Amino acid sequence: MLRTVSAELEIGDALPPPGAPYDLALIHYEGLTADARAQLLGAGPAPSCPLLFISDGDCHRDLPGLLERRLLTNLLGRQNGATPKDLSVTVDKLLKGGDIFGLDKYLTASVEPRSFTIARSTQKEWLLEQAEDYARACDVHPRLVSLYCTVADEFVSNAVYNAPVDEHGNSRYRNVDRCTEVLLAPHEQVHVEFSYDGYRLGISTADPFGSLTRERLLQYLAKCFRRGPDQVDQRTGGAGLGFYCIYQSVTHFTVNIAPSRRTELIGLLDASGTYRDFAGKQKSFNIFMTE
Amino acid sequence: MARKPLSWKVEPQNDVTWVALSGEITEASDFAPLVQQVSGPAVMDLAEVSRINSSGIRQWINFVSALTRAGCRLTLQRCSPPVVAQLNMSTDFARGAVVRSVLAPYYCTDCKQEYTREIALDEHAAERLMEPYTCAQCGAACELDDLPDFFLSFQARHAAPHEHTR
Repeated sequence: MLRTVSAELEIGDALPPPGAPYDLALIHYEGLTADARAQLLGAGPAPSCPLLFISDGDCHRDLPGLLERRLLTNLLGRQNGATPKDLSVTVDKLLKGGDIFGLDKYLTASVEPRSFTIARSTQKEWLLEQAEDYARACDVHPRLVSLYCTVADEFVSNAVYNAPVDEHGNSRYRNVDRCTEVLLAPHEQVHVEFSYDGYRLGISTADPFGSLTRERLLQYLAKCFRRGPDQVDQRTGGAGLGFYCIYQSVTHFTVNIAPSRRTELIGLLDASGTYRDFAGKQKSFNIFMTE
Repeated sequence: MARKPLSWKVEPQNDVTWVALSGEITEASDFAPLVQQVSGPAVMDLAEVSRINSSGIRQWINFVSALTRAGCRLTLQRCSPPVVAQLNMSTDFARGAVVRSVLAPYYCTDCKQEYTREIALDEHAAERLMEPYTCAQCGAACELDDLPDFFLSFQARHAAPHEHTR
């Protein structure tokens, strides 16, 4: 637990009590007592300070419960997953805030990064071709190329259909059929980046609306991981599975939000081995907010 | 590289309709014409389904639902790895259908060649999944290119004895 006022670091085996003045609690999930886990999963009051879970795998098994309680906003998968740099970037963003945006915080490109601007929904197919070509040029496993395209697909759909809001904050295209073309004004366009550091493939999309909320993101993930009859939305618009598909297709999913100004989605895929190597990695997940 | 939209081939065979799907299942995949072509027992070959996005999952679920509501007894066979991924992730992905077999992925790390092997979903499926696949180029033993404990985790929900064969 980190206390900014006195720059104090406390180490303990109990969860911080609600209302405790900590700026951040780092929780090694496998080190929690059974009582502490039960408390997190609903048997007691939840900590009120920001939590950063570090896990070797158990946290993923308890994901549905942690998402239901809206407690899981920052998770770093330790085993074969997150790098020390990821931990440093995560703690820095959580404690300092400031400039939370940028794929380059995670990757130092070894292959020429590429960037694109999306102005209309029909550009998605073209962008997926670019994503496929980029991943193939990086010589990664063929099944990871396909996952990279899936992430690009969901990122762009989210930025084009879900992100735009009117001056009252009402969604403009959320309930529009996904085959209906949407055009974005020059100041509304989506910025896309591809990058690769020889180990991880990265992709980011940024929209200038900042309309995604932490609550909505966690609500959708919780609904999908619950695997109930409501897993798939049947209303006109998206199927409500986009974030779930993204989470399942990456090693590290980061969402940066400046409310009403900008939302950036970042996906990192560990492409250093086979698909089996990828699938066996622990996943990391972050939501960062800034003013 | 050009992407491949969904297409299909339909062949009536005795009292069974055989359908082979190919390409990507997305929001643009309109299954309505196919629903009109299928009635009674049907076998759907999914070996060439290459990718499914979130909107495609819903398109597919509604397609299967429409067929089963119309009384079609649907069997899925040779489900490609992307289809298996959805069987494991989505609750209703094959509700009402019988999954007869999957294509398990194997990978030669020396030659960087991908292979698949059809695994019938019977009581020996898990054992066959772990049998090495011999690389056609170098003769090396390729291991399963997925998580052994997870790949067939949907089996308990969907597998059942099949009735139709091609």
